[in-house]
Amino acid sequence: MPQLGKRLRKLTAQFLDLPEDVVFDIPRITMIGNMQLYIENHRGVMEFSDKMLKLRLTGGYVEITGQDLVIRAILTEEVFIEGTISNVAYRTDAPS
Amino acid sequence: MQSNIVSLIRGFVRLRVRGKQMERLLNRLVDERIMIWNISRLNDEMELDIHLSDFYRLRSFLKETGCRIRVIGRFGAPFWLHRLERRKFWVAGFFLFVLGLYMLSSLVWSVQIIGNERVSTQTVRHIAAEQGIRPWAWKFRLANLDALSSRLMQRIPEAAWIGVSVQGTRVTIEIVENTVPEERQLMNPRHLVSTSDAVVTEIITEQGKPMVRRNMRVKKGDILISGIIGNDRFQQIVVAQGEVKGLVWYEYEIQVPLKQSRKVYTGDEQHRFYLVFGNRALQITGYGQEPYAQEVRRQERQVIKWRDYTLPFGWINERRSEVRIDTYEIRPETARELGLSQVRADIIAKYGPDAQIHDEKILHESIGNGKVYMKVLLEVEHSISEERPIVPFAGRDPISD
Repeated sequence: MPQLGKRLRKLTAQFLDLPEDVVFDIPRITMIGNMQLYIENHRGVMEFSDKMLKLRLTGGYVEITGQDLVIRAILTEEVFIEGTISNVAYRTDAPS
Repeated sequence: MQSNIVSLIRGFVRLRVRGKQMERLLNRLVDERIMIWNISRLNDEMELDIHLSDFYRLRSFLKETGCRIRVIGRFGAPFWLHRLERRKFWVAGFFLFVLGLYMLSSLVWSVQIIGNERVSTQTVRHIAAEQGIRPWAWKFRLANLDALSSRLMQRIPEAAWIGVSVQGTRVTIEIVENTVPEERQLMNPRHLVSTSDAVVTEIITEQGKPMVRRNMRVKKGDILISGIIGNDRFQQIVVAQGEVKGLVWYEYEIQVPLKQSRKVYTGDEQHRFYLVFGNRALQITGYGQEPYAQEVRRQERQVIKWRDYTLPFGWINERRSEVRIDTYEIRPETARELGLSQVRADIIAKYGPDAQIHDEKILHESIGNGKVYMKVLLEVEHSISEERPIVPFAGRDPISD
């Protein structure tokens, strides 16, 4: 059933020309230079230090590395990070 | 995110968190929709900002995750108020200052009176003070401005309109004075009598009884308009008023010299320049010049002024022009004309610009001793009335008999 639902949603997204992050539960990551980073649709903080931030996503996590990382604001769905960002790595879990 | 100002008003604290499960604490807080911001990590400690109201809800989450906190900074209005509570006198002083400023600005500091010409400023000030418009009066105790102005108008009958306006601490009373016709001079009961022997050409009586008609001969001192009206039984003495014109003859004897003299500039000039200090002048240029026998002096005086102030410094430009007196001969006809024009000017000067010369007759004319001698008779029309006061004499007027 979940497989069917996923396919149906994908079809709808294509048909209606919607951005995929609205339809699926996947994150939208906005980066301004290497100074600011916006992540929407996260699932919580896994690890946080001034050099590394690991955020849980649906079906994976994103790992941000850099210098002097500060979470300027955090809400249930959004994170706003400032600092000198050098790496953004996106990891997916083993396919379910 | 809430804006900074709202956070400052609500008040927030900066916390330093220590513990093993800091990420879990973060997630729990976020799940509970507790707002935290500016989260930074330093080694095994974490710093974050949290609203003061949320701070008191932290306890259970800290227990759950085994974290410990320390407050390292307090910001916002609640803390300022707390600090002010300790400085009571400062707060009192501040409020006293505001109160004082308010009180002082609700006083009348000055009363300005404009537009009055005949009514003295002192009078207006006095009357305004009676209505409460005076320096040091409370502005809010002044009556309604319209009522004030109407009350002032009752007290100042010379004003056609009075406007009272308040600008800040100044009250302006604007006065528009009504134009009053000139008051009539008080006059004694009188007759109008003739100033000279004449023939009446015009008589307009405003008050009184006309005693003459047009083309009547009158003698000097004759009553033209009588101040006694009515018949023998019912009489009233009034101020005779009116205008009587008459033809009067004047005889003039004129001498006009045939040699006339006049001043003529020779064109020679001397300049002198003086500096002026107070009322002393110091000559700068023009030394060693021969004075002229006859001269005309012209001085241009300049003083240094700045706005309304006159400084006691200045300078004088003096110009002395040499003058010579030329004598020249004129023809007898010119001399006659000159003499007549002098006579005309004399008549106008004596009997006013209304005097009209109707006729000029040269009775006699001769030339001798370098002069023209003339005898001229002029017929002039001018006002001939003159007042003579009526002195009541036992109910009868001796003059009118």
